[in-house]
Amino acid sequence: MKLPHTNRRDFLCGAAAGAVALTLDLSLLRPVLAAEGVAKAARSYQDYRDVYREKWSWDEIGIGTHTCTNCASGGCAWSLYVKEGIVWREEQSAPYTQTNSSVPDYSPRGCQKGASASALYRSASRLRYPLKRVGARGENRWKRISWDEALDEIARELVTTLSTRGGAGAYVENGNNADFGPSWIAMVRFFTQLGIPITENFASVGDLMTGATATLGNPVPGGSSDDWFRTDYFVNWFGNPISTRIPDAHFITEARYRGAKIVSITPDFSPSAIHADLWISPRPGTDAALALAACKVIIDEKLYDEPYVLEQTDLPLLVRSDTRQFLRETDVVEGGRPECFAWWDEKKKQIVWSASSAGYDQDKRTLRLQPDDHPALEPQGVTVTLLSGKKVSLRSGFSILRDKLAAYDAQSAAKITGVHANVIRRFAREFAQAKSAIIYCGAACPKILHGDLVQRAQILMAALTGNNGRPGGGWQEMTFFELDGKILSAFVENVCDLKPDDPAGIWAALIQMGREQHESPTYFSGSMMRLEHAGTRSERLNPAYNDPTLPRTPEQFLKEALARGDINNYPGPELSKPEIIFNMFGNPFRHSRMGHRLAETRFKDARLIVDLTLRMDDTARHSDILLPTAGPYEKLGVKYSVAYPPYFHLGDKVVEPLGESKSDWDILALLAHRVAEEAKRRGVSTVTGYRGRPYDLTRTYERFTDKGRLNPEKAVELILELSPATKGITLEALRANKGVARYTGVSQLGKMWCGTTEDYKVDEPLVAFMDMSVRKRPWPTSTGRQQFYLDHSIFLEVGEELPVHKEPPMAGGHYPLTLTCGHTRWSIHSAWRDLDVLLHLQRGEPVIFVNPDDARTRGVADHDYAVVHNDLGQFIVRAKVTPGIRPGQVHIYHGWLSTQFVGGRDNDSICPSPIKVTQLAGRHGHINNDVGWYEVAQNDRDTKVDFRKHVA
Amino acid sequence: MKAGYVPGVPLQGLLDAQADIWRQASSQVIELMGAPSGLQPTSAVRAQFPDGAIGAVKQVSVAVLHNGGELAFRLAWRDATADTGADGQDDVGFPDAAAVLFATRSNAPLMTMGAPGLPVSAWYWRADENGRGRQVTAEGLGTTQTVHGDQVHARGVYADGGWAVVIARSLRAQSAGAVAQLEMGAAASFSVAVWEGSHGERAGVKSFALGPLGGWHELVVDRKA
Amino acid sequence: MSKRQLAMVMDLNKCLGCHTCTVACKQLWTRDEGMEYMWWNTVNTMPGRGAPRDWEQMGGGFTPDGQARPGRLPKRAEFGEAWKFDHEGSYYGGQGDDSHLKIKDGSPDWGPNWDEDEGAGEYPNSFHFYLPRICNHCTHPACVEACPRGAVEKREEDGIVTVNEDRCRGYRFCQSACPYKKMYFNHQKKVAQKCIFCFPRIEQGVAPACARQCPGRVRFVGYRDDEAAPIYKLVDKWQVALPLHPEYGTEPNVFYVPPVLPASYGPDGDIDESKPRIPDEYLVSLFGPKVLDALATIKAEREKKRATGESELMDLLIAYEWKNMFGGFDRSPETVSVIRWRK
Repeated sequence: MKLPHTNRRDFLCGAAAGAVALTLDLSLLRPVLAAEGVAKAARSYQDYRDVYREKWSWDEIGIGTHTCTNCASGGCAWSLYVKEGIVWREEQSAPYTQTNSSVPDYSPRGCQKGASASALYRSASRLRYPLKRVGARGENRWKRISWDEALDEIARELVTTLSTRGGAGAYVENGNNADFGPSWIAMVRFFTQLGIPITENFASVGDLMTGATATLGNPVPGGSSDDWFRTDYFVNWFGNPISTRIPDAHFITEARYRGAKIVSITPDFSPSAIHADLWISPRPGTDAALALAACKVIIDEKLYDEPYVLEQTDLPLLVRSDTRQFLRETDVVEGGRPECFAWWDEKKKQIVWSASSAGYDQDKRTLRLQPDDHPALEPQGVTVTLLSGKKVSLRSGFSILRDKLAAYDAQSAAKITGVHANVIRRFAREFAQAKSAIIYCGAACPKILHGDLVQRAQILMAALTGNNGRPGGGWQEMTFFELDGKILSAFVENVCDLKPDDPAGIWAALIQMGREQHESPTYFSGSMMRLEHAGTRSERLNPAYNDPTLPRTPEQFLKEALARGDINNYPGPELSKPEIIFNMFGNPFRHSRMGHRLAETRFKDARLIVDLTLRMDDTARHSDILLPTAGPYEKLGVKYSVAYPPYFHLGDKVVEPLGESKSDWDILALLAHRVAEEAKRRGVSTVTGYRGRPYDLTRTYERFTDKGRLNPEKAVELILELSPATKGITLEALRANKGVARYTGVSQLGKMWCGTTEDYKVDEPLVAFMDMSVRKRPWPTSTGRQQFYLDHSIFLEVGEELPVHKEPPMAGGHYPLTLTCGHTRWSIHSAWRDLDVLLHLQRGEPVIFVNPDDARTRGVADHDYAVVHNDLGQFIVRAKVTPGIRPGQVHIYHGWLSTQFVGGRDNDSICPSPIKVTQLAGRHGHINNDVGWYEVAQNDRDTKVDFRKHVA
Repeated sequence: MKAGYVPGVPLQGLLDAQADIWRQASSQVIELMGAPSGLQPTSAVRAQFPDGAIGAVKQVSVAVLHNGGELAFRLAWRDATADTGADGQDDVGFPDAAAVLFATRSNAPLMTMGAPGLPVSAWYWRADENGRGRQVTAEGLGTTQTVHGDQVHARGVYADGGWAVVIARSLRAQSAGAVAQLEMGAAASFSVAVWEGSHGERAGVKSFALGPLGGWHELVVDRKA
Repeated sequence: MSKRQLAMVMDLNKCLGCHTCTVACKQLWTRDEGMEYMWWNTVNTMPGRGAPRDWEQMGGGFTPDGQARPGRLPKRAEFGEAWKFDHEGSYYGGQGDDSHLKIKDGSPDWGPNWDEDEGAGEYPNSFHFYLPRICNHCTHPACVEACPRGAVEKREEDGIVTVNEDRCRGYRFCQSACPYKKMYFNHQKKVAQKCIFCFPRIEQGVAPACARQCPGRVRFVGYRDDEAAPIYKLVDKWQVALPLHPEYGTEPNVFYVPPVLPASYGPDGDIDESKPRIPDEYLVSLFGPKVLDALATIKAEREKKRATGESELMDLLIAYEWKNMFGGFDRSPETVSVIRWRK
């Protein structure tokens, strides 16, 4: 049967979303075998089936992953199917084979965002050309300019500012949607060498788990996701991994089939709750009470692992009754070792200094107890004579904890949390009796004011039961195979001089880099910048929005901490009036609470705002010059080394950058060259960085490129060569293996930060803290143990020396509902939020999820517009009425762009983000106030609101 | 009925259903009946269209002219809705359609759209393909196939609550298929069919004319003007 | 009857509701003009009205005595349109703070995933799960039987049901007849279109995109009669995979492992083990009475696996080796020498 000619054409018109216009007449086509590249048989269109066969065809296949995307699942290997020079679709290449027959393999890794990334990278929001603002800032009137015009203007302005105010006259707004290969390296190299500071935003976005840093000496403990499969009891707490860890979630559902019990703890019946065996739904913000009640059951019923507690935790350590501080050797021994802590030995009947202590003889430090060590968990009547001659009584942390836990009997906790006492008891017993138990702590946890207390209480559960450092067990969030070569390439000017076969030289470079960064840090706190310089101070410090039990105002705590110099990386007054703002890899208008106030503060005052960006977004709208950056697929890139998949992921350059866009590397290299030339032209040479370090501006390009030796390809090679985690992996080998290679070891930095383990094996799941549990290496805390007792003065003052429950604050005013938030399956932060094909699978607009009763009493029906409001203002949003939401809860998934809301205000605009005063602590053992380690974070999940029907 | 001879009138003139020549032509009102439900080829069609549910259009006015080269039927019927199948609406309706059917063998059965070895041919117009006609042949229910090689011209105008559709083709067919061959002075067996889109009529769900000659009507192609 | 029949099993206990399947299918097959609104693969939250809206009430299929059951045509708005958004205006329109990425042309009230994560019941005992759907490639396909032109074909070699678009004249009886409402109409090309079980991939030994791209590792693929492969074991041997709405009479070749949700709560707030969170009668209404046996088998085998480490059924569902889910259709597409169409 033959079709009329016209219909054949119709069948084929317009393939890939308007981009690949395959308006081909099949009668003119000959099939060619791609592999052979020659015509095998001339076959004309036979019937309708050939239309589909033709659709599933391609010119070539490239290697890709979504490098400019801060998805904490980590990398996924994709094949990019290229037709006529365009990536028309992608499909997982799924190269992960089983490494261990006892756990499932990692294939195929991916999600719907990855599967539509080629559409995103050609979508309407993607920038094609450099643009210059012609209207008022934020007005959105633009003209197209050339790269020459754009770069010349920026170089001129930079030289002017650097030669008058130095590096402090500019700063970089930085987000996490970086390609953590050449792009990120380019940003850090360029701005570090100009002495221009960069905002750090791990805490600024609210992800930093300071409770973990305080307890475990590590803000990012975790393992690989296949370890979840081995657990007997998986507790998802605050998280929603079914939606937000899509490539890894099968290890949970498969663990369930292996016989593990799955528990989900969230106020709403979330997508992760439906895959659980037990769903516990505490009142929002009362999770610490639930955990502490479970701890009480575990202790009261003697379900705890006593040898583990004695060896691995600070609970046997002795605390002074007078100061409520730990007993330190310096208290009782002249010239005693600082930060040396003690237990009471019940056989020797004496104090023994714990060999785990940070101040113990360095070569003898260990967690291992000697055969004649018999630490007492709850010694009675122990006293000590201080150097002053004063006698004080001592108690163990465990003993104090037992007293504190008296407030959390199951019945009392039931009243606080709304969870039935029997459910609490059952949860505690099951958790303690499981062979292994994981608490997977979601990134919503640090986004409540008292998230640190929740983390400490959760970790206590895991520690009492001996789970931390156990395969298939432990308190986890996400961790990384941090790559030394990446860090060195970014921060070390002469990185090309480092030799892969000289580990000592590499280590020395890391130490040197650490010293320089300590003295003259590149990064400063984005969270505190918002507080000090972005118009949010009064809300963030408002005592009414904070813990009502605080003895002083938050502002007094802040002033005191600053006066004591406890906070490193603080954006002081020198950064209050930047002339030039750069933005890279993020959307601070979106990722900051009350981010819209940037328009009236920082962004209003600056002379020039430059946004290196993939796309138009809220921040781009408020900028002056937009430099379009190449996306993944269009440049060589490296994926963020999140350890859920223990695989390195390369993204290759497969197609040319869209329109006139250029890679971040190329843009900054061009700019470095122009800055140097402009400096020479104007006779400017020495200028100073924002912390006062002088440098020669005319050498900018030379330094950026390490004397012409560094380029993107070289940077990737350095990452691979200088990192023990990628030992033996070459760029060539990656390209031959779909861009993927299993990490071969743990990097130097990884050992310090990432699961703190050396025991990674290529055929085993990665387990955090095996160094401590097996090798008995002390924990990176003051006591060298999992440290639940914190004797910094702020903790003592506010009653948080041990984990306690504190009522969630009335953040935003006295309103009856709590605005909760969470990551969504539909976007990676605000990326993909405005992509049509995914919006079609939602409602096309932002929605809040509300309980039917709350909607009914307010006269709001499903899909009505609602006005959500509190003291700070309001936003307008569609209501989605669903019985899975807890009464009193208003839930919104995050990442919606403000332009997607009627009225242009998003949910973060009404979140006051009160500061947690204990996060001001610093210079106290491992409680060191540094960016990305321990600092004041932004939060939003305690925000109080009400809503009403919106009448247009 | 007769196909009047209008020498010198070009095809484009014939295709204008509102042209004077059609006003002057003699027309005949032909009664239509619904195709029987029982003859529908699938049970799904029969279930959706039981007896009595088919045949929304009850009569059609037919006139026929030829210019010595091409022959044109003008079909006109009352229709409250112009169903053109235009996209963009909810579009659960179907396009209105009409056809002129021919017996290519004298004993080809009309009711079943022919039978094996006894093909029925048709010139077909559909409102969503207005301007482009289609020549088909069938040897039984559900076997309709497009026949290429001859151009069928079909143009409809909707005005004043009804359709006027002209369907034309050259008298002599070029294609080798089982299609109508017409010549001046000769007679042919024909019928007409109309589909009312807003009633969901499509495929075999239609009104058609049942004539006196084994179901067919007779058409005599005039030799004289 | 086809000589062989391809089939799919979807494990609802592993479905994440992530729609990677939906998007994989969309990107590969349905981006052309006239196909924008089509989602050959959908995932809906159940209980729910689904897509097209209230499809379970639209009829079609067969009565118990094999007669066609009347069905109605779904409207486009019931599927949901491919809404267009005002990207240009919102970012280049000079609107300042009033910039709004609004949906052009009105305010839709339904879409392919409109009732996502809603479900039924009352807090804290609400319940829902995700139900991915493709064409069931039925053994007794209502669409094939409905078409008066014989334009819907069931392939002899593998039972895949396709629309012969050369033959289709857009009469849409197939659309009314399909009780699963998985037949779509291309309003530009005036032909019916539907899931093709990725036959060009199948022809090359590659699993369908929805299955191969599923990160939840939900979907098993293979011939129905391949006794060594997972499909046969799950459907026939262990009988834990069941067709959706078997009462529709079309004998689907897509089968579902039924979902097990967390324990429900009693009125006092304590766990109530006596009644499952999803009422049995709801699951029976979807999967027929055999679903209760399937759930019992899953529960027993899970206990066995927990206690002994051994269970063929659990090992199958875990799918230790991903490639083994595809009944031999496990070829990497990168190794395929595809037909390349050149001018």
